[in-house]
Amino acid sequence: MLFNSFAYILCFLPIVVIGIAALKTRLGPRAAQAGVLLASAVFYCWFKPANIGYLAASILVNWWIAQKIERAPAPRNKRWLQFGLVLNVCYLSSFKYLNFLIGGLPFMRGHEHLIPDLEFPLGISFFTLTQIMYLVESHEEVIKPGSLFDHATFVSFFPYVISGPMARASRIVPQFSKFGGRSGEEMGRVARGLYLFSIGLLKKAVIAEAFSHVASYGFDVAKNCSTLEVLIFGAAYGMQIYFDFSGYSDMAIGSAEMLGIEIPRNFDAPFRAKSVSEFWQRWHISLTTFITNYLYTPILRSFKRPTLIVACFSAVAAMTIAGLWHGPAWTFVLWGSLHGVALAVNQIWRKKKMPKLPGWLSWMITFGFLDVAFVTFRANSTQDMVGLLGSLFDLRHALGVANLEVMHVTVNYPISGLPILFGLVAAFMGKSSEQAAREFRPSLWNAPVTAWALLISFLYMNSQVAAEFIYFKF
Amino acid sequence: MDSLLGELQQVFRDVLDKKDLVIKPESSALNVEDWDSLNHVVLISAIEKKYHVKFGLAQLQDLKNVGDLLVLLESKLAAKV
Repeated sequence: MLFNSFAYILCFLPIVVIGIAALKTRLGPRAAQAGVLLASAVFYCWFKPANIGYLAASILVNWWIAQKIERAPAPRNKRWLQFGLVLNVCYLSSFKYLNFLIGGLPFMRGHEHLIPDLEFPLGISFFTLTQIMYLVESHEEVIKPGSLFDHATFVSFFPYVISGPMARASRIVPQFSKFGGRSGEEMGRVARGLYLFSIGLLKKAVIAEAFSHVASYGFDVAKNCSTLEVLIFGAAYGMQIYFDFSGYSDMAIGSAEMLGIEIPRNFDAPFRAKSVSEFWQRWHISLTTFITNYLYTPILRSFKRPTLIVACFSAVAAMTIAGLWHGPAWTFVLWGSLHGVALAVNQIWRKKKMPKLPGWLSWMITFGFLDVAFVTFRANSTQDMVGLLGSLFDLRHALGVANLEVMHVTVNYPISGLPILFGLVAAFMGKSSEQAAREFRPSLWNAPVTAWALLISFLYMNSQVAAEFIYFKF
Repeated sequence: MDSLLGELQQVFRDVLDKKDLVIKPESSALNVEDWDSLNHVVLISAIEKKYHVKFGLAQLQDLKNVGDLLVLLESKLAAKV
């Protein structure tokens, strides 16, 4: 079930919110938790019922390993942790990277059919990282592994199970005991959740869709692009993925808020960043937190002396792995590596006390880099990526607009123009949706804003089939 | 806690190469110059070496400021006794 579908907005979510509130009032928080677990199972099965087995297996096995970690004395508990980490990485890799890694070996040429092509279970990239954090937290005694009921509710929680934001057990599980928040605050909480949800829906159904038409045209239809055109189509894709994924995250956080569960924020106006390291503090924040704590820091600490060179290497290595996490393709690997190199340059610049650039120039360089990196991320294949990067640096046709001139055949300007304009303003000015939700108070002004956002989104949704979120395929 | 803060202050001064640096429980990477991701790891390694303790990844993730670091370090030292 998609957040941006009528089935979710008009049936599933209202039934769950009202049902959970009723269960909590009549039978207590544990009954409400059972209701959420059931709702999460229904939500997950909606896409493909057979996939629930993969999620259930991950929950069961990781919970069992956490029990072993808790009971085994040191250092045996560390071996259980290592076993759990290897198992999770293998589990994810067998679905995601088997073909990419083994199929690419020279002696496998022509024998690719021998490698099993396993179906990719929805959300596996996200819930596997959640399980890794859970095992580490159990080993370090930040949390007690808890009951299977708690662990299953935590991992399968429907607002984040498919595409995050990635949450930690130590932050989520304690909230189950007071499910729904404190009495008397329910209405305010539901209003705030609905407000954030409606902004997220507007971002996804209206703004991201509008940018997607330009990006799809640029990457799928346009031929022999000029430098200017590649930059425009790259920026359009950057905007599309931002409004798509931050819209999704807003809807996830809003849905959880309506149930009285606070989950991590994920975006904070990333395109206003004046450096690549600032960008990563604002973009996919829950993934950045994971990369910093579970990839960058361990790689850096594995060296005897953490020097600047080692830190640069760690940044490139961590970001390359993060790129590969998005999918088995060289386009993602290059995207991650580029970001790693940019972060390393950032670090060297700071350490060597190089001159501080004016704010506008830092922003332009950062945005220009992000734009080029998005071109590699979005390219349909490695071959396309090489072609696009070739066009980007072919300055003989730097300012050509041949493709832009005929874009009106594919892109409906009256329908897409206004949302694109609105999106550009929202991306660079004013409060971020997360900030707006944090400062939200139910008022006569906020009620029509919420209603307006929902209404406009419904109008756009009514004219198109609900489109999947980009991050579902990662 | 004050004496531990004083000892940590010396570690911070050595690692960040700032002889006059004064840290407080509310000091964090946001308000201490040069406390970046690399220096954070160097700081943690220096503290681990000085006190013969080991910090875990998830424990480090929870640190927001020097006050949190002090609480974590105290709990590690108490566990050693």
